[in-house]
Amino acid sequence: MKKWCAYKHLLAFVLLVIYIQPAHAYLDPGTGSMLLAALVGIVSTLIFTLRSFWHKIRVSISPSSSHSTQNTTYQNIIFYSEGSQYWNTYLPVISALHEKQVQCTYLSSDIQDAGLQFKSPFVHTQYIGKNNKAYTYLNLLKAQICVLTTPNFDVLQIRRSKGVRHYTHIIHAPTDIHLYKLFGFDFYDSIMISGPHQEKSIRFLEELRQTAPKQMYPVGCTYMDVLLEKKQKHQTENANIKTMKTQSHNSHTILVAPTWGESGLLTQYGISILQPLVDAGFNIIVRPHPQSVAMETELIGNLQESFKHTELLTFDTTPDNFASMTEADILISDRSGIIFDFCFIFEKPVITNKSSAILLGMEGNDLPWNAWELDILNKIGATINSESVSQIHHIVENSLKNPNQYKESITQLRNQYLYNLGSAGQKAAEQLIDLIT
Amino acid sequence: MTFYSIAISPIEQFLHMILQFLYTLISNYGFSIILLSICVNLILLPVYMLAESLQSKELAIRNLMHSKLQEIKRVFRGQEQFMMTQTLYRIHNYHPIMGLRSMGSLLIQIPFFLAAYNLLKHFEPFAGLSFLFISDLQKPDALIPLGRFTINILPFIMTIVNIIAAQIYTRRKNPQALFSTWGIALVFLLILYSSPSALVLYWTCNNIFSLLKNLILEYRASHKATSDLDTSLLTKQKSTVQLLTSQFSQWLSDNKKIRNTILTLWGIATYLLASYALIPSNRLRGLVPNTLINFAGVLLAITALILLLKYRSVPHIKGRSTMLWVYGISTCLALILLVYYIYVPEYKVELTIVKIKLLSFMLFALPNVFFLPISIKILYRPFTKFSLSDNGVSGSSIDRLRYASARVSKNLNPTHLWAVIMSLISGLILIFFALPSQIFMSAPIEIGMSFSTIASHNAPYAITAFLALFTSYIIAPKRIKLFVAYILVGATSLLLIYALIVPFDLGRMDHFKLIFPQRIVPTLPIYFLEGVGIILFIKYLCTHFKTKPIHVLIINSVFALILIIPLLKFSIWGTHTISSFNTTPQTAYQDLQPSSETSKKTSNQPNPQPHNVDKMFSFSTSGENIIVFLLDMANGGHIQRMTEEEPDFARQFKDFVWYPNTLSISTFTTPSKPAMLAGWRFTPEHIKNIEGENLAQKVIASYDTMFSTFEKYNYDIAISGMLYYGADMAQCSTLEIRDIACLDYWDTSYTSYWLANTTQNSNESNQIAVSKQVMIVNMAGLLRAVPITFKQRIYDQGNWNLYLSLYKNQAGYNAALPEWAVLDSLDTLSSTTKSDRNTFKYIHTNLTHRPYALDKNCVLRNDVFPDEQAGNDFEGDAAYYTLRCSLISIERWIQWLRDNGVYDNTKIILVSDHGNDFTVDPMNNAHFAPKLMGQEHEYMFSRAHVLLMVKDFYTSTDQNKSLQIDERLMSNVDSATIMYYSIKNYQAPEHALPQDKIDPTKTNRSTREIPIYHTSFYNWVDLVKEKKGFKILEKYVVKDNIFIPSNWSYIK
Repeated sequence: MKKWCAYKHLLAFVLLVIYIQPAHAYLDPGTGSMLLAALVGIVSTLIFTLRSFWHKIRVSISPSSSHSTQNTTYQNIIFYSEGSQYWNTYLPVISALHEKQVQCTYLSSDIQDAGLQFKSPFVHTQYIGKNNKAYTYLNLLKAQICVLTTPNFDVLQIRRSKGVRHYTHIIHAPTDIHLYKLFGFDFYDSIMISGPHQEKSIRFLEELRQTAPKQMYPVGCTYMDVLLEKKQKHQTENANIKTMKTQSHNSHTILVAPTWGESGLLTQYGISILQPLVDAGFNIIVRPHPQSVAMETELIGNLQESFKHTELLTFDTTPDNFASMTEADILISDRSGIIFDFCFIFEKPVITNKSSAILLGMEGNDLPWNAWELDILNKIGATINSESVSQIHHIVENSLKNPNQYKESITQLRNQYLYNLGSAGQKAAEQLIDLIT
Repeated sequence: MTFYSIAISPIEQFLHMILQFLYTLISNYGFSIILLSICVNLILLPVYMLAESLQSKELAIRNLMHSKLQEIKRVFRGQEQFMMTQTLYRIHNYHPIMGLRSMGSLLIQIPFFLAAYNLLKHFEPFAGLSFLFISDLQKPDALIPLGRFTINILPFIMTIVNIIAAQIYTRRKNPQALFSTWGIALVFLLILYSSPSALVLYWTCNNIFSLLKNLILEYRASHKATSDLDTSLLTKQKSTVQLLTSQFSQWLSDNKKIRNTILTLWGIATYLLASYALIPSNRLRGLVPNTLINFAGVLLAITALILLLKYRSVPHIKGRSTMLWVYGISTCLALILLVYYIYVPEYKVELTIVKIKLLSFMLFALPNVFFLPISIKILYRPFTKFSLSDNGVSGSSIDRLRYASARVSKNLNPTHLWAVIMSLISGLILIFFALPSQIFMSAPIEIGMSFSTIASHNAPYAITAFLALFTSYIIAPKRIKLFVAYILVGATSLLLIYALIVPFDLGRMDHFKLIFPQRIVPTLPIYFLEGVGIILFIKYLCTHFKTKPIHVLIINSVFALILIIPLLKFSIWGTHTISSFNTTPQTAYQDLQPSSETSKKTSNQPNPQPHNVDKMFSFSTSGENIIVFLLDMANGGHIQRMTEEEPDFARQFKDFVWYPNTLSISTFTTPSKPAMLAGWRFTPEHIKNIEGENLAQKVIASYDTMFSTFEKYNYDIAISGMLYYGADMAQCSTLEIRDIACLDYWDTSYTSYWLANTTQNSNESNQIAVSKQVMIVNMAGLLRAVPITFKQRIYDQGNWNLYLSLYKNQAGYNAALPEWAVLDSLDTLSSTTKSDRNTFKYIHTNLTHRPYALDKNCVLRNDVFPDEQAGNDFEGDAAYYTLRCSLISIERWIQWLRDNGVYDNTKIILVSDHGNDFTVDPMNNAHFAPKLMGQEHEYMFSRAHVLLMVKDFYTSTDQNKSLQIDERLMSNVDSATIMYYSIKNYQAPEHALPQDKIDPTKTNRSTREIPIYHTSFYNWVDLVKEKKGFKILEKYVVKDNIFIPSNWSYIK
């Protein structure tokens, strides 16, 4: 492309000279450069058109395009899940609909999705395949309302289907929208938000981009309903065991759950953050990001190698983090989504690493303020940086000295920035019913 | 139909008209070219500025998107990158195709360039004209001689200007484009280097204009920011005068009635002055008293002042100071000229055309300049817009603008839009199709082409006009959109009303000449009342349009329907048959325009033989040949002048007998010809007894009588010309079935043949002639639709003002070309045959009928009237020249007959159907006028005095003979009897009248009395409509000697 830019004027001129017939050449300077602009315009239009055409062809001739005929019932509300990890987001909503005897459909692109096993006379579930097969299915969908957890709707592969009246996005994190990919929400009809900070950011982008104003439904974080329920269940079931455990280990458990990539805690500090904690005798559960396990094998391998003789440090790579969270007294993390699960559900402090994320290609780059979660980090626990990381064991000890030190501010924060904890699914279901009637 | 003829030639014609108009103003082609360039650029300026602003807008959007695009390119890959880019475009309402929007103006400009190039490259009037340092506008300037070579300077000046303009442009807009603009300048240098200097001059002016434009834009762009600050300071320190004017303006805005009255008064004053200035002849000037003009002038001045004050205090009109200056100066100038014109005494006596026209031009330009809102908005809005988008991005608003979309609020009121569209459609259908169709229906043969030709020729003009006017409405800024709509709707409504509702009888048209031209000269009350009426009507219409556009929409739609339905009858495209003439005979007309097949032939063979030529012009060597030339409108008295002025004439025509004492049977061709073909039973008085459903059929019966008589005696028959009086083209083929050779002058093969074989007049192709003929048809149609006061702008003293001066005589030329093509090539077309069969040929030529186009030297002229001294083609010697040229052709052909041994066995009759009332008859010594056609025609006698010359068989024995004169009383009806008695063993039919049974050359003159009838004027439509016979208005009976008044007796 750069080469093309360099040569385009030359090319345009050559074209110009070729096309000028002696008797037909009358251009004034203004016209000349207009012609140039026109030529560039024509060429880029052509390329653009051809590309979108090619894209359309590719989609339409892809082998999976012959999707199964859609079930015509259960089409009031359709949920689509990209993968099993979103089932917890949908579960409270679908359960609430089930209780209210409202028919709906749950579509998934993950054959392992637990949601596909949901048994209810009112809920139809269906596996629609992955990637292009799923996209084609979705792009020809017929429904009153389609609920998605996938951002970048009508920007990336999932496009607006003419058969769907209303698209709504259900936000599956209590954090601000800064880390979403560019144009994450612009073309939804409505967003189910979990807190007022999200509305603020989304409205700003709406105004900035002059996109149609979206409905904002203060719903909350539905998956937290599941977590909360699980926690409550676990508490009542394991009250005895927990007491025993605390007795047997006279030490606290620390959960280290970093995100992946350059800003990840482990990538940044590696062994230097874990060693002081091990030396201080803490129980440590390291829960690397699934993406880290897959991509950063060297890093994870090195860490496992370094601590293989220590029983205090264990690696947790199971899909469900609930057990680890229950066990831990404190969390050390960076920007991972686990922070708010941990502090809002378990009301335990979180030590966060202050790092500046690069927001290129993300919504945050268009927002003139910091992400909400960055501003409230000191309310949920201590923060560390590259200088204080060597003192991490002291910070942890300090934090654990007074368990209720952060509890109050966490609750306050939760009340202010998380709608309907425990009843978000109920709320979402009501909203959906409201939309179809 | 080529792309050029559709898209470019209307513009070329338009440029041509501007150039000619400018030339009539200043009589200098060099300055006209400069002014043409300015005009074209001014016309294109709004469009150019619009494109410029679109381009800047696009550029601005691209700039806004730039950083985000870079981000996307950095972060995303592949399909995702593409989709993100697509979304970014979507959010900005941008599509790469928008890059093409700026091409809109290019698309409009290029046709103008092409048109100008084609116009100026071979513009004949430039030949040999010098201008400033240019010695010949049609050649390169060749200013610096360098041995055998010369160097042209003008192209270099042009290139230098071009490069400077390009420098400024690219510096401001797009520095990277510098290279290519230099390249373009050089390409132009190469292309135009050896072009005519007129073209280079035009192009140089364009470049200078472009340079000035760029300088202004540059200036505005760089001073915008500071001036913003200045104005904010200035507004705080309002002077007392400004305060007063703004208060006045406020008062004016509050008092709608007063404002409206002022506007109405202004409208009336402007209309009166403009129409006064625009009327070409002096007639109206004598008519309108100075006080009225003074009054109008004062009104104009007052309203001008008021509006001036009003607009001074309108802050939102950008660039108002410039426009106010322009406006103020032009108003003053126009008023000064007006005063000068009225009060300086010598101007009343002798008006120099230049100053009068200049005055007219100023006054005409005045309304355009005056309507400040339009002019300012159209011309200057893009300027302001442009500077906004260039400099508006600043400071804190940058974030908002990053995604600020290019959404243009569409402020089109759909009903207004549709009302304007329907108005345009109905108006353009009226001008380009309905009115021409009316003209066509009334006189198809005089037009000489099918309606499909006219319609298809006009279609591109109509479409171009529609697009141009519609675009002007669409691109008009919101503030004046309604105003543009007023103008468009008002103008079309006026045309429709005048064409369809106002009862105004123009009178008949004969060969595109008004028979009663004085009717279009308005009287003072008409002039005044019409002016006031029109302005009030437009005012009413505007108010109505604003509140209830639906009415305008409905009315115009109805008008459009009314206009279209009759047109459908023509089944315009495809067939040549006109169903409205579906009476007997079937009437159809072949196009003058050569079909593609014919033109192919023409290109392959340099000298195409016209079809039918053997049958048409072959003469029997062993049998006998009879040939009759009907020279339409030829005056008998001209022969006298011929014998006096041309000594050779009497010798060449030595075997002819001239009957100077010959009276016409009627005053027009239509009533005369039947009798001239078939004898006394067919005179205007007797034809009513002939069988036939209508008069047209009775006329046709006269042809049939002639054909069947000659068929009976086994003659080979050939007939040509003026066939619509019985044998149209459709019948030409039926005649051919009867084995009668038939030639219509609109058969282009003869014209092509002649054009290919002659060096003179070959500069104009048939196609150009067709387009000009269509223009005349259009003008004739438009004459009905314009207000009475303006009719003289269209038609003045026999002249259709379509090219203002260059093609004064196009109508005459078009009419004469095909006729002259046949007559002038008689000797080359003729051949001999050994067949025993006798031949009979009847050749009717309209060449000798006005409008005349042959000058003294027998050269066809479209640029001037044949008699250059005469003000129009009715005056002077044009009729004489044409007759003389015709006789010279016949003379040359007679020589051919002699050379080929078919002279003695050929009888030749030269006759005319009526004389010419626009000529003083050289033989009318008594200067008496029988007042046949009432008081309207002075030279009535010459209309009654017709030509009759006869050359009998076997008369060439005597070498020393000269033209013989036989003064016996004759009628042009006698040509029929003479022709019949030339047949061997001729027996007059039983039912023939007594006069038909005697050869008139043997009649005793003292016993003879000959009638002459004056009837109404008949077009073909009238013949079909008329059931019985001709309506005789007057009848005289003449005895003995037609030159003696007392021999004329009036019969009631």
